[in-house]
Amino acid sequence: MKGLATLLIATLLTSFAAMAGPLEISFGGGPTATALADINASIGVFNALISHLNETFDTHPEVSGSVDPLDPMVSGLSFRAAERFWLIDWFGVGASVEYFSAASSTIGFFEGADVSTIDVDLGMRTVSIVLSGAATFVDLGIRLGVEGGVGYYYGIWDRSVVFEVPVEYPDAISGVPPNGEDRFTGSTIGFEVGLSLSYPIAEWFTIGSTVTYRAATINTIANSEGTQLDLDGDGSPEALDLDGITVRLTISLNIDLSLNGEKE
Amino acid sequence: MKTARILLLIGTALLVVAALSGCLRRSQPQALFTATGTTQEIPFTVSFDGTLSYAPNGKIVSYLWTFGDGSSDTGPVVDHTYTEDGTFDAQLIVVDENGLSTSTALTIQALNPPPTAGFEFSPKSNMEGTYFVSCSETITFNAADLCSDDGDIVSYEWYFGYRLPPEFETPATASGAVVTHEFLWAGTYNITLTVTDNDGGAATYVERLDVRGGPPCNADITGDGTYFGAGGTCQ
Repeated sequence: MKGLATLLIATLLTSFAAMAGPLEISFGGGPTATALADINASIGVFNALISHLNETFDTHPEVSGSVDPLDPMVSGLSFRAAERFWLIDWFGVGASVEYFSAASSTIGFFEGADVSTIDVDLGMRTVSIVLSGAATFVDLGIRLGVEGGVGYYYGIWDRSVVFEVPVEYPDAISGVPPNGEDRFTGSTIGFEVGLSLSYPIAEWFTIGSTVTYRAATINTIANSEGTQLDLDGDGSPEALDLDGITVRLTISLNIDLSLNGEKE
Repeated sequence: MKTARILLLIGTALLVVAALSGCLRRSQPQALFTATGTTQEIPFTVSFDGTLSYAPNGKIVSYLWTFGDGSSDTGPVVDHTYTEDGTFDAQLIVVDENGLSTSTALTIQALNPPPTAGFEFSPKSNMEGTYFVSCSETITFNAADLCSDDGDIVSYEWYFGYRLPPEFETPATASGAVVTHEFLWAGTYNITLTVTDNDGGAATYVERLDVRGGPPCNADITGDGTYFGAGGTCQ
């Protein structure tokens, strides 16, 4: 959290610096694709076991029921608020705060001598603060530009797992995930690069879109006791691999802060 | 100014390429397996089936099993016999065609079969099919021939109960495969033998024994002026 506070202060300082020139404040949101490679590998294990149990008990005379597989966590929605100070006509610096969430869940039962429950609920949220620079390359009414920045990413992972193998299952299965409910947190530094397209509707108002690639991996994500996330119980902790692409629609308010009312 | 823009554009393009290279990472295979009867008394055979394993990018080309007892095997489905007791981690390592590997494990509990316990005693009398022994006679209890184990029996512990009312003594016990004991008082005794083998396995055998005869009522059998049997326990 110390890093988060530092970045917040840096963001405020950037804002104060922006008092000298044209300031752009934007809000946007859109779909975000994330790799979450370790997490989705674990979800793959969950689904392989669920599929195996479904097949095993599909024709079992004493057990009924089935469980739907989990959806992979490859996308979610993100929302961003940003401000940017244009140092010169085609180059600006700024900061943004972004919120992203994704989730996957399933619940089902096998009814035999006992009722065996499979109830898996996985959720992730991240908050990131990114200090960035942006450059406009083409300005023909529609502006095409690139942007890139360094950010602090704070992730929260919620895990609730009940995975009961029916007693009628004749064998032991490896890889059955451990039951439990817990919250894990972690943070990292990453970077983003992207392309932006913007169309000024008025001098003070712009709409646009950006495609941003994000590279950030939270390698250590742990609960309050310091235990690292091991979703599939294989003894190897999972990382939160946030690498991915965000497509974002934005609206921007352009505020001229120069004293004489003219752009510098 | 134009040069600066071009340099920025090239720099950004390089960053995009570097970032997107992360997308090309291949996912590891996942190792999963089932095993029959993971908790049994030795010797026993477990069938391991690793066909649940999968590789997101391609196929699995190698299944390597280690059974935790020093032996190993290869192949998607294997059998292994455990002959030593203990707790073992049976592990499967799968390798996909990209050379990526991962592993998973199950715990196998190979239980030590407990010894069997039993004993015979002599001399004894037979009255209408019921065996009994006499008071004040030295009885030999022999467990050497009726106990068995897959290893060695390292301990024989006997419990003969109280020869006198409990408030006057601690119960009589003995150790060894062959022991002797003398009952001072008539009654029915539960003779208990507990044997322990070299792996810590234990078994207990209990046999009821009639002891007949003995001193008259109110006899001072300890020689210290205390008279027992006044409570109606005389035979």
